[in-house]
Amino acid sequence: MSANLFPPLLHRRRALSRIACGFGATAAAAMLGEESAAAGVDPMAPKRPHFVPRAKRVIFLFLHGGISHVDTFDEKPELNKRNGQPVPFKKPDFEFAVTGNLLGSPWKFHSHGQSGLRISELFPRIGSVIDDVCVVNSISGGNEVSHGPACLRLNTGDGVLNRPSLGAWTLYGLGSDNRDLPGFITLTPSIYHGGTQNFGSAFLAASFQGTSIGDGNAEFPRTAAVSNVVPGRPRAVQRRQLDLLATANREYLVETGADARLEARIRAFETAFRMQTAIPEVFDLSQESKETLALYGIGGGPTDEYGRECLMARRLAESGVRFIQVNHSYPRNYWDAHGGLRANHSKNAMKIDQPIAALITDLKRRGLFDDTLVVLGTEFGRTPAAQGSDGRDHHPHAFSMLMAGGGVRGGMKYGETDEFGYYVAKNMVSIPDLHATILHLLGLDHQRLTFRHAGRDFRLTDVEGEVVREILA
Amino acid sequence: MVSRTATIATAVLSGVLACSAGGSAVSAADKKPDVRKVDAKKAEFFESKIRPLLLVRCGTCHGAKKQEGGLRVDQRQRLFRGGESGKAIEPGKPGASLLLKRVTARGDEQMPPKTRLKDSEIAALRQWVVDGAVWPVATGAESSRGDDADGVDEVIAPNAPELAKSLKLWLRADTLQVADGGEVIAWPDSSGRGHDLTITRGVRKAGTGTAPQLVKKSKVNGGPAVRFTHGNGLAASPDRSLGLTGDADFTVVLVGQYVHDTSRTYESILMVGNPGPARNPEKPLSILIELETGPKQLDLAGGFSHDASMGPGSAQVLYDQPNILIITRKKGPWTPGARFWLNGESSQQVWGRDPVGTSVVPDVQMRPEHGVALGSPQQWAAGFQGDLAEVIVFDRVLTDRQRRGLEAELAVRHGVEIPRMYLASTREFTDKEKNYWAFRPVKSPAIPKVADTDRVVSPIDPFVQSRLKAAGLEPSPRADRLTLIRRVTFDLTGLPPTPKQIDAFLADGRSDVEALGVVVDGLLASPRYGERWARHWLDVVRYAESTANDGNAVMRYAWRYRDYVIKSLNTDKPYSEFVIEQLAGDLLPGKTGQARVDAVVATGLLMLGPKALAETDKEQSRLDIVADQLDVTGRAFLGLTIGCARCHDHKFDSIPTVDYYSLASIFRSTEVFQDENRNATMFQEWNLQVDGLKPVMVMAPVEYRPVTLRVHRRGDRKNPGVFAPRRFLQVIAGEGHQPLRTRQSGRLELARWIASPENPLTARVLVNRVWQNHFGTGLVATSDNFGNRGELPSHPALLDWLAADFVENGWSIKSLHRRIVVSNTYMQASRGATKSAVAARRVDPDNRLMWTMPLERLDAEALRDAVLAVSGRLDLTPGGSETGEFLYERGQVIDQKRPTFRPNRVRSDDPFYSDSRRRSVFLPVVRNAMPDILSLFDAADPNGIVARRNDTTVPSQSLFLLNHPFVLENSRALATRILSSPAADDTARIALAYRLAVGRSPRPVEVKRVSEFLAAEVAGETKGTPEEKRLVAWTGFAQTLFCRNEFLYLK
Repeated sequence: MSANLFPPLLHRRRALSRIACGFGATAAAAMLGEESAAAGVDPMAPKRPHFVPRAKRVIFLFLHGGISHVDTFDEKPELNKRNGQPVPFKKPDFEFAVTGNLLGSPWKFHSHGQSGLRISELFPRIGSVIDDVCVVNSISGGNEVSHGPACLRLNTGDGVLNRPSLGAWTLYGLGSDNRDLPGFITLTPSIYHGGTQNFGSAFLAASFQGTSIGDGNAEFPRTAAVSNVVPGRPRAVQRRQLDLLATANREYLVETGADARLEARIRAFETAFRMQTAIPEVFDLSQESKETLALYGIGGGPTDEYGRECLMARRLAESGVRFIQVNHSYPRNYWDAHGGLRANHSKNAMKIDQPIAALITDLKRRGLFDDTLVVLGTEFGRTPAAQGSDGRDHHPHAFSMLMAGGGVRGGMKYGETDEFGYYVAKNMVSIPDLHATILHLLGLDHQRLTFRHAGRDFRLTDVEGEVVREILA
Repeated sequence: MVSRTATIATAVLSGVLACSAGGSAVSAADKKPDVRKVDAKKAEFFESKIRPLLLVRCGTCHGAKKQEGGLRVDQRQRLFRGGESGKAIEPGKPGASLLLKRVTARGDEQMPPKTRLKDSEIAALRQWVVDGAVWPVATGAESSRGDDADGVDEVIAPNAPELAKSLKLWLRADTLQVADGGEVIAWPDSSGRGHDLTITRGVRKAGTGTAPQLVKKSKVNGGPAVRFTHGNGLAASPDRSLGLTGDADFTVVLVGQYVHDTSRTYESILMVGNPGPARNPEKPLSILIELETGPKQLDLAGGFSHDASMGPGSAQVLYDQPNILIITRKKGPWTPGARFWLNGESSQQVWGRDPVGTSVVPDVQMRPEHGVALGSPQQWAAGFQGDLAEVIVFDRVLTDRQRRGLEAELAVRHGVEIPRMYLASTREFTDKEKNYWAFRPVKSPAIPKVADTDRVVSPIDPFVQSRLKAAGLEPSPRADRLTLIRRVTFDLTGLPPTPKQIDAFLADGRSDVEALGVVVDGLLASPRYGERWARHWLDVVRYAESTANDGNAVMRYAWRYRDYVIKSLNTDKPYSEFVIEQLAGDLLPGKTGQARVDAVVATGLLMLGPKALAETDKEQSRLDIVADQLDVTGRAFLGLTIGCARCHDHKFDSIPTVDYYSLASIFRSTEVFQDENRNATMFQEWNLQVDGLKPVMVMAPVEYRPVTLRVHRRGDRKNPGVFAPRRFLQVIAGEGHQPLRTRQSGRLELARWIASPENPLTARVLVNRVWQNHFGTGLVATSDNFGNRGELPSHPALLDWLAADFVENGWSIKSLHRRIVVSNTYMQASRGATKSAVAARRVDPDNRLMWTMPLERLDAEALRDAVLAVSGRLDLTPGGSETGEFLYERGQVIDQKRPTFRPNRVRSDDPFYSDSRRRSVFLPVVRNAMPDILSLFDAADPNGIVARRNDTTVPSQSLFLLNHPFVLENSRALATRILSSPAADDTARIALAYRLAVGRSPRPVEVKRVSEFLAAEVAGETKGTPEEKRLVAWTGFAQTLFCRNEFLYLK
């Protein structure tokens, strides 16, 4: 009503300078360009990427505790052969605990699919979709040998300092496609090892931080919800309240003169009102067919919980949530096998193998796979040398991750470790490289996605990072 | 490419083959006829194997385009010189060549990092280096570059490979496994040669030496040392000779501090004998070092007692300060052969006398009892008083380079200043750098003259109005009184004015200015003022009560710092004092009683930062804390982003890396953890004892000892560069500024420098912060960055006038508020996009010229406090330990041995947050678990410094206001408050609600609308008794008040 009094461009300029203390030039330009006037004060408004994206969203499957690479995705015959012998070269300067001699993998590896990629018998179902998966065997996490710093490095790029998480940077760069849902949702994250900092926004606007559903202490809730989304009053009452409120707010707007923030807040109440129904709908798994539930292994048994989380991830992806993290996390689901490696990894693998394969299958049959990037990651691998008789220590120096969908070549392996899996031997992918690649797939140039803070332009990848072009489809 | 270079190389083979940096390997090439042929082969090997390898495998990152780490491999000279990590190649010595070290390393150090070189490639490189690293060049002009002789940039440990063979004795107090104050019956030799010293009394024939004492915090800068008094004496077994004869080369090093005791003429410290089969009591000891107390001299004697002293020279001993004494002696006559260095400076020989028959070197073969001795092992040795931290003997004369390197090693380890170490650390600045606007001294400018004096209330108004006039703009009209009282009350106290306060102000018959002045004085005198403005400061200093990162341990006593800030503001403590106390309150002399407690609590500032407690690399963890302390010191007090200089010279400001490490040295000289070596999970919490008061538990750092860090090239502490003396920022401190020589950490000196009226930044930064918190934007919009990357001041003259006025008024923040608030500029109305403001918006859309008062949303704390105040439930209990105790009780004990270490277990949705009725500043501040009501409304994230908060408008805020129990409960409380008031009817009740929430009475149309709403609610779907339904209806209405923009925003 009052918009004509005032050229909208000025609104937005002023608002921009206020809300963000200096948006990155690209984001600001995008917002001043063709976005609707509504974009002015809402940092979640969709923004144009730097170039044509291959993926519109990310599902990050995080396996907390450190999954052993030599027992899963990085077969090492020489390690098995020299089981029990000393490590033939210097062990890393930075180790978490004392380790002994080489420990062969108790699991066999098999070829799968047309690509013939070999992965361990722990993951037969992932094997069945391996032609859609890129196995990266040369991840290096630097020297972060403790869970906390390693989790923070994987999730935020820095093991010590408080930095925005990958999901927060993604939202900062792209905004959200569905304004009735949070743009970054993390399922059952651990409250340990960096806790909320792992999905925080640090110096970026708070609205970019992840919204957590449950945490690692308890089973993934069956009626998941976002905080404050359960209506405090009956819907009809709220409607009348909102009508009364809107009238008052419009009168106030006349009094103050047009102000983008005041207008945005009027809209925000209406959006919030809609979110109260939109969110429970997305979270309602009962809308899924029996066949789909069975596909994910939902309905009791070890696959039920992670199955529900993976299915939820698909539903969120379908609804336009930009970044979804599915955590298999401490203390209930934890891969930290200092001892009891056999039991630990068998049990955990059993829980996630079917759900992850189902997620890929399901995304594919719904046409979501091509523009959804799925990443399977962990904070570090585990030592090829034994800790005790049946355990492995933390090992950030070389480990494996999987990537699939959204512009990644399936059925390929990338990078190599040495014959024991101790160090990266070929085509190292550092955490900043991984981040640069993920952003690249989303259409963002990691060197241009910057935020001015405390006198300098910050990036997710700081001064590092190279896109791993060889794995792009 | 490769073949072309090969051709060139072949063509130049007839020319001179220049040698590499190492020099010796091929320097003889020209003289021997057959060498050339050999070198032709080597050159060919280089061209066929090495050059392509360097280009292909290393050249992408270390080539013509990029030189990561400063290394470039496609030019001979650049490759040999190496990069920031040092010399890359030692010809002939693959083991000493960094290049080979890095290509063979595995893991983090490996080069190239991504794909390892093939074994055959490594072998080729090794072969090339072994063969002298021949790289044929076109001319002989290139020469090797000598070492940078200016500063000291290496440290050499006594057992470094180049010294190890000569190391004969090495006594270190820090290796002793003796309790503090315990007797040192034996002092083991760390040289590996078994010259262990033991007491002599009861052990040796005629031995009288009793045990000295181990002192953990000795006079040698607080490090461990062995304390000797007369009669203490230790000696090594006579059959373990050091192998020194009277005419031997040697170097003796003593690190200690000596007591000047004039009761004796001579005091012996160290004696080295050479017991052997020939026992001739007439022949002297090899070495006798003694103090001559009268002339305060240090004698090096070749005698077995002072009587037989044949001192070749003496140096003035430096009493009452730690000494690194190095004495070298070359074979031959005593006097010319001996040299002294005290703390790195060559000492003038003031006295010297060669033994009888001058050129005769005594044949030293004496004292069968001892190989080497300290103090008074027998009656004949006088012994000394003082602390010895380290004793080293070499059987040769160290070179100057080795001696300097050793001095540096000892200086760093023992915190002793060696001035020449810092030569390389000074930096010169250009006039442009020195004259940067924010570094120029503050000079109070004249107040501009303006024609329209009616609108001048405060001296700040002419500054603002003259700039407006120049831009063709007018100030906005004054705001009405209702707007003013809401604005100023929220602004100064963070709370809404009560209806009573509003009425009194509206009814005040005095002028607006006078009436406002009275209100402002009242608000500044209220304890609520400190609670409000403390929060602004707490944003800037990243205040929190947990450590963040993975431990997130509860900081149980952090609240004392919060209360200190509140109290300081309420008592209008001069800002200069406030600064000094926070950086160095523990070191302030003359503080007694509560003032002493406050000053120590203030240093909690240095403890508040996030800490990575699980970091395996403990020193790294300490350095990260130093980085945090520097960041807060720089940005909070000086408006400088010093942290940017941690890895490289500041890219935009005149802060060289060495300045970062100079300041870091000061902070590294302070202890943050109880035991830095063992575990970092026990930060400093201790019982402060002050005369006349009960002991108080505080979280505050304690003095460590002077530490001199070296620059960490590229931020990597394993790659040390020049020494960074404890010193301030050179560009501001000026050329005359010398490194600190204090025996304390240097924090107090730094604090006083920052808080000095001459510091060009401190006052400017503070007045700007206060301005920002009144107007939404500072005169310098980037209030924590006055550097080149920050914004220029919108009103430079006004900024300087305010800064000068502030200092002149005794750094009084309350006076500053009065200057700013009681002004025409502050009293202006807010004008949104109204027609009258269109022109002004076109000229100055961001209101940098201050032609209007901007509309501001209540910040998170003010919003929560206002809800509680309006609903009548606000609990105004001030401060106290509630938060600390709550967090501590709820923290989890994970290690019974460290029960005070408790990871936080309070989550962001803890009911404590919604149930608490106290002011928001008194809610627990848990890193990574901030409650919704604060974090949703852009409260400061305590993980970092927040100079200016965001102002977002997002639906999650609306969801909170619609559904969160805190809002629902307070809505109900407000409804109850209204319904139980004596108001006569619903119209009066509605009016009361409006007056409480937004300060004004409702318009008739509003009353009508609300009445209709209430009627619909009562008739609606709610179940219950009429009273219950009525309460629910009013609750619904009350809630809409909290959601209104008129409530959430201030004009």
